[in-house]
Parts: sequence; structure tokens; C-alpha cells
Amino acid sequence: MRSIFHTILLAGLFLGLGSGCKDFLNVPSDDNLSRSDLFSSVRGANAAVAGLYYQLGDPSYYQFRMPVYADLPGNGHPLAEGTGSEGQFVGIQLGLVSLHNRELAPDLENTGMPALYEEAYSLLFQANDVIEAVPELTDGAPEQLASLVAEAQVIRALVHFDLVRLFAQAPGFSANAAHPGIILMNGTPGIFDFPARVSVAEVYALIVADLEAAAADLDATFSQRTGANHWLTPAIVNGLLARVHSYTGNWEACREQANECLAASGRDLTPTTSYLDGWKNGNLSETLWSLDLQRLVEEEEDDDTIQQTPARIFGTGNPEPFLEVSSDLADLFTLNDLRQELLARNDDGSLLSAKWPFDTNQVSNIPMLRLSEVYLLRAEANLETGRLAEASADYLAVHRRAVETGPPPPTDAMGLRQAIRDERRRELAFEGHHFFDLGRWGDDLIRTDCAQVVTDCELRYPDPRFILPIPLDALLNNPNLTQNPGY
Amino acid sequence: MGGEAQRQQQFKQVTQGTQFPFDDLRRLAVLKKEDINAAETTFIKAKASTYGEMAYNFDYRYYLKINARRDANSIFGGDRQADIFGAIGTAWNFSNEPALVDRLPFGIDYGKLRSSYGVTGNSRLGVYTTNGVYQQRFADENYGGQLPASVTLPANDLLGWERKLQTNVGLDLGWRDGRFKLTAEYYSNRTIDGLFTFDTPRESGFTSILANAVSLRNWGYELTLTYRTAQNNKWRYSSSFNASRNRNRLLAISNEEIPARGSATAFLVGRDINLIYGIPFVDVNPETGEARYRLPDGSLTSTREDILNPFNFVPIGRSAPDVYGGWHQHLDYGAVGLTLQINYSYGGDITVDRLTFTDGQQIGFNNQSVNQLDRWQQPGDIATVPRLSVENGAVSRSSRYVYQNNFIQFGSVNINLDLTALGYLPDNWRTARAFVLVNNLGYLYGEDRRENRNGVREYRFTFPQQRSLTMGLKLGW
Repeated sequence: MRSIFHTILLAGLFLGLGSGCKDFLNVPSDDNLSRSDLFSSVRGANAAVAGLYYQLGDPSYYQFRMPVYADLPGNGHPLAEGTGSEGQFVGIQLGLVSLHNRELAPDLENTGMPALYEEAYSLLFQANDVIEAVPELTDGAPEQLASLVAEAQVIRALVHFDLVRLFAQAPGFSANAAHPGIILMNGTPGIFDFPARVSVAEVYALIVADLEAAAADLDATFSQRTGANHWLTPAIVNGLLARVHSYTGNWEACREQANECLAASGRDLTPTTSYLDGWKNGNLSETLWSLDLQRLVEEEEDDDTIQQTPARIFGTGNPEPFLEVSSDLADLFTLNDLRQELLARNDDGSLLSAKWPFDTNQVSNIPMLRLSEVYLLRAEANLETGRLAEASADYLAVHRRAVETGPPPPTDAMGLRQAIRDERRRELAFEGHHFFDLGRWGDDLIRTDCAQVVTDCELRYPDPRFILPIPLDALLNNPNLTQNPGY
Repeated sequence: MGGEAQRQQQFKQVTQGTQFPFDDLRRLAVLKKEDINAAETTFIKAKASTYGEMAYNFDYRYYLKINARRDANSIFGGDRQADIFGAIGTAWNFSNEPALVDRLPFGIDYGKLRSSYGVTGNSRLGVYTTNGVYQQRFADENYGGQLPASVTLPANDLLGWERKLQTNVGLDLGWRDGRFKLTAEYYSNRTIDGLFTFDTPRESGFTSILANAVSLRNWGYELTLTYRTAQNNKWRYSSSFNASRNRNRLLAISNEEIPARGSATAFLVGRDINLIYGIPFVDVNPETGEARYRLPDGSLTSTREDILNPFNFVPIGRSAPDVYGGWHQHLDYGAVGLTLQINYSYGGDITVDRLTFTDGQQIGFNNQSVNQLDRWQQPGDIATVPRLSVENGAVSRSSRYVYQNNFIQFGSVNINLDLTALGYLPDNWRTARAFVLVNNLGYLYGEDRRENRNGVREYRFTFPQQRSLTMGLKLGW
């Protein structure tokens, strides 16, 4: 019996011994980086922030549909025949047509929007991870760490802004924007958290708070890792703030931020002489921020890879586009408008956009913000705050570049407002604004170029179809997530 | 008693060269830089264990066995790297009990009652899943000339060992010096902190996550009967037959999962996890030829949206069988040996891949099943197969694709001939055997079927299962 006790005693000693092996058990990973390793140096934090930009350009996000999502309903037009064996629309093209027609079911089949939803929240996780981890770093100057956090905040704001524009009605939809917005992610969630949607007002409050904090902390000496315009700068943050304020109708703030952006950018509008070449060569001098997608271009010159980019949808030079330009948009240009040149027909007669020149093995960087938009935002802000002369001047700065001679702008507020809105549609066509603008203005979508079978050629505001349904896949996995009315 | 520390380190480096100027001189040094490709991967994992075991028996009547171990593994993060496991087993060989020797009923000459209880651990995890993982991108995958890192897994300190509490009671009985044996066993296993990959809210930034958050009970019976003739017979025959039955219930889960699209399983507390969920097919509408399905409220529908909605899914089958097992027989007669293995399964269901036959719903692009001859063709037809369609999306989660899977499989036959024993070969040959082995002779299915129509026999496997015939000769000298 005694030997049994010895055995038990010894076994107990052995079992207790294991705790000394902690260091032995902490092993590093070499293929992937563990989170703690990545966020142990500024170099790693930099890679995580570069990863945010990289993921913005994901095929499910800004590489393909997102830059022109808001152009599909009004500025796009389905072709007479689809690519299906019997001329029907199939696959990606069918999805684009359903986004144009606004005939959408919660499964959002073929539209790529469920993937966009996933990608957006994946990006929000990483942005939050950076925001939480970087302040703990012991490496690097405090200003540099603050600037890294600021970049993550801007991207968090941008993603929230995209989501709220896609899946929720614009702030003006209800009093105090109290209607449902999206699920906010302002921290990394717990494993079994089921967050719920918050009001549109709360979403915009976080977006503005993030951008304002970032405007104070962002330092271009750190963020401009290379000379190209692929990195965030304080001027870009001001421009984005001006854009966000235009959605909430906070016109004084919009005007102020537009002013700051124009002053801080150190750039001027691209002049008439280099405007068309700028689009053709993808180097418009007034572009403040563009996403770098050159990694997609294959080294070998004879490569005939076709990339999924906006050019694939309706870019000039594309022999088989998915959609074409609507005559509703084309008819808005006067004959002497320089921007007529940005529309061209391919061999089949489809009208296409030269803002996205198409070629095999060619990818344009995605423009995220350029000065013309900032001028037009300030024009709107000046108009809405009663500064008609200044509004008129901002309008003309953009308009006269393209139309040298023509009637002067209307002098009454109503007329000038319409002139500015039309100018926005012309100048910013195929850059992802039109349909979102209609929502924030509370304007109807009137389509006279409506040959295809569309249930409503005239989509009257308000209407559930101004926004997307919440993807079914997301609904099934979060019991606290509610569907948009009308879907 | 002992201890064990293990560290596994893999380092793999591959260098590849192309465009060698002279094929005879395959040296990297002669190549241009751009024609050389190098890659490497590394992998490290550490494990430390200590264990002890104690066994004791008294007079070959009472047995006691205790063991314990502590396992720690580098793949768990935080303070849950280690866990302790143990087991205790007892047995009573009652046929050696002096009071019972030669007094057992029914001619039993061997009897043993045994039981065991234990805790075991399991760590079916990839490496580093607990720390949060970022993927560092290289080369072409850059942004503005910088190399980005993207998150692939969130930090997960809640991961640890999955534990299984196992209880087992068994009875062994023997007759006629052990030539006839019966073993009956009952087990009940409880998995706690079970590892499970959960679908997560898309808003979390991930589509799924692994967590110790499931509790499951498995229980069942096993019965084995064996018989063998005496060793010195000219005819020697042995046979072993077994039958098993297994049940399970989900006891707890942090987040119940309904059968989301594409999946036929659900994880609901109090339910069997082998249930197949889907929409029950009822009949074909005689007026329109459309398939009608039953909604949970009892009404019939042909509306696609309702049919595909996972919230309308109910159990339509169970993938695990009620009883399954096998029968192994072996016969020796002189130099000839014959082995036959039979497997069987009863009470299970199987979901047939809808792509093996497009079921008349997308007739544009695939071959159709002969069952389409029974389709609805005109108003008034009472049919079992809906009308044809060019582009009807499949209703893959419906009872139309669930079949009973009761079968007897003739698993293998092996005939063995000992050529030395037959005296055909010189004595100095040590072994000389010829054999014929046939694997998978075929299945017998029990199902209601119509003549010249397809059923589970045809649909179960996309391609007919392989049958192999092996003939061999084994010589040794």
C-alpha cells in the first residue's frame, strides 16, 4: 500500500512540474505573423495600415463595382442583348442590370454586394485592430503612432460611410435621421456578440468624429510613404469631411472643410488643356487620392488578362461591355462641352466612358477624391448658406473649364441649385456619386432612356429601392440584424 | 510514469531554376537572376506532457487501473496551454470467484464485468489560431510599393482543450473454453468545451470562428459475437458478428445554428446533430405541374422564396444509421483459406447530390434521369416528378433528394492457397502462397423501387464504386 502512495505523490509532482515549460511552449510563427508580433514594431504597424489601403482595392470593393455603383441606375443603361446563349443577361451582367433596374431581392444574387458587405466589415475589423493596438506600441515617435491611428480612423470612417449609403436611407429620409442605419463597428467585437443596427444619425456622428480626430493627427510626413497620391493626407480628410457634411446638410461645416481642403491640397483644378489627357493617361493632376491597383498589371506584355474593373463594365475600347452609358446622361452635355470627348462608341455602337479606358492587361488606379468634387461641394454649401455669388463662382470654375462659351449661370437660388446638381452629374459621372446624390437631395430618378423592361422608369423619392436590402447571408447569421422595409 | 517534450520544426526551402543555357550543367550559378525562384516555409509546434499510470489486481479477480496525464500545447494562447486528463477503470472477473466457479448458469465458463470512467482531451487545431494571425503579403501583392499585412484570424484566447468524459460498462461472457464469446458494451460520452467552427455575424469581420462552445452527448451499444471451432480440427471456422447503435444529443451550444443555405445540418440544443434538414416535398400540383412543398404551418407552397428559406426547414432524414456493423467469417480446410467480410447498415438516410442528375429542372445543359419519364405533362396528370423546366434553380435541400440508405455490402472475399502444404514445391521453399482478393463485390439495397427507374442504388455514388480484383503469388525461400 505504501508504494501506491509514493506513486501518487510522485505523479502529483510531475503534473505540477509542467508550468515551468511556458517559454518552451511559446513558439513564433514564420509563415504568418501573430498579431502581437506584427504590432510590436512601427514597421509591422505600417504593414497593417498598408493592408487597409490594399483591402480597399479588393475585387469585391473598390476594384470593381463600388467606384461606379451609384452610376448604374441613372448613368448606365443595359445593352440590347446580353451575353447569354439566347441574348439574355447572365452572371455579373445580370447582377449589374438588376442594380440598374433596382429589382433586387435579399439574396442580392450576382450583384457582388454580399461579398462587399463581408469585405467592408473585414476591413473595419482590421482598422479597429490598428486603432486599438498601435497606441500600445513602445517603438516609434508619438506623432507617428498618432498618424498611423489617424489613417485607420479615416478608412474606418470611409467604410462606414459607404455602408450607410448603400444599405440605409440618406439622413434626410426622417426627422433627425432617426431611421435605421447600419451596424457600427467602433471596436473589435467579442466572439459571440450580435450587434444591432443603430440610427443613421449615430453612424454619421461616428464618421464625423473619426474624420475630425484624424484631421488633427494625420501627418503627411509619415503617411506619404511614396510620392504618388496613393496615401491619405490632411487635405484628403478635409475633402472627405466636406463630402460627409453634404449628406447631413451641415453646410457651414461643409464649406469650411472644402475651404481647408482647397488650401491644404496645394493644387489647382486641372486646366482645360490637360484635362482630357489626364483621363486618358490616368494622371489627372487634380486627383488628391487614388487607390493603387498596378499590382494587377502582369509583367509580361503580351498578357491578355482582363481585370474586373469599372473599365470591364463600360470603359471605352471594351469590345464586350456589360452596360453602356445612358442617353439621359449623354444628353446633359452641350455640343461644345469638352467632356463629350469622354464618351465614345465602340465598334458595336455601344456608348462607353473614357474615364475608364479599357485594354487587356491594363488597370486604372481608382480615383477616390479630386478637386472638382470639392469645388462643387463648396458651390452647394455656398448656395445653401445664401452665398449665391460665391456659389456661382465655384460652379463656373468647374463648368467653364469644359464649356468655354455659354449662357451665364442662373441668378436665382432654385435655378442655380439645379445648375450645380446637373454639373455634378456631368463632371462626376462614373465616379460613384449620382444615385447617392439623388438620395441625399431627395430627388426622383427619372429615366427617359428606358427601353428595357424596367418596372419603374420613374423611381419616385422616397422609395425602398433607393437602397439595397441587407444581404440575406448577413441576416441569417445575426439574429439582431433587421431587414430594410420593402425587402 | 514518464514525461515527454516534443518540438516539431519544419523548414523547407525550394530553389527552382529555368532556362538553363546548357542542359548538362544544371547549376544555379549559371542562370540569370530572374530565372531563379526560391521559396521557403517553416512550421514550429511544441508540446510537453507528463503522465503516470498505476495498475493493480488482486488474485486475478479484482482489477484497478488509474492513469493521469498533463498535456500542454503551444498552439493554445494565454493561460489555457495545459490541461490534466485521467481515467480510472475497474473490472471483476466473476468466473474466478471461488463461490461461483463451475456454478455459473447457462454453461458460462468465463465472465467479466468491467467499467471505466475517464477524461480525455483533444486539440484538433491548426497552429497559432489563438494569437490572432496576420498574413504578410509579398512581391506583386503590394500597395504603392509597400508590403501590406491583412488579418486572417482574430485573437482568440477562449480556445483550449476539448474534453471528453467517457463512461463505459461492459460484460464479457465465454462458453466452451472461449470458443464462443459474447461481448456487450454500453458507453456514454460527454464532450464538454467541444471545439466547433461557428458561423459568425458577418459584421464581426469574419465568416466563421473556432471556439470551445459545444456540449454533446454520445451514447450507444455494441454487441459482438464470436465463434471459432477447436484449433485441431481439419475444418477450422471462425466467425465474428457485430452490431452497433449510436445516438447523440446536443446539450448546449453558445449560438444555435439553423441550417443556413447550402448546409443541411443544424445545431440545435436537444436535437440530434445528424439530422438532415430541408423542405419536405409533398406532391406535384396536378394543375400546373409544379412541385409542392410543405411549410411548417402545414400549408403547401411552390413559391421559391419560401422553399429556400432555411427558417422553413424541418428534419427530413438522419444521416447516421440506426444499426450498423459487419460479419467477418474465415474458413480453413487444409491448404485452403477463405475469408468473407460483409457490412451492413440500416435506418440511415442519404442526400443525393442534385448535380448527379439535374432532375428535369435545367434541361438545357445536362443529361436527365430516366425518372423524368414519370413527369407531369398535362393538367390532370397525377405525377411524382414535376414538369420539365429550362432554368429552374435547384431546391437542393428538399426531401426529393433524400433516400433511405439500407444496405448489405459484400465487402471482400479472399481465397488463400498454401502451395507448400499441398506438396507441389520442393521442401526448401519456405513459403509459397497464392491468393485471390476481391474488394467490394456489390451492394444489396432495401428500398421500394419501380422497375426501370433510378433509386439510391444508382444515385448514391456519382460514379460506380471501384471494385478491385487482386491475384497474387507469394514465394519465399
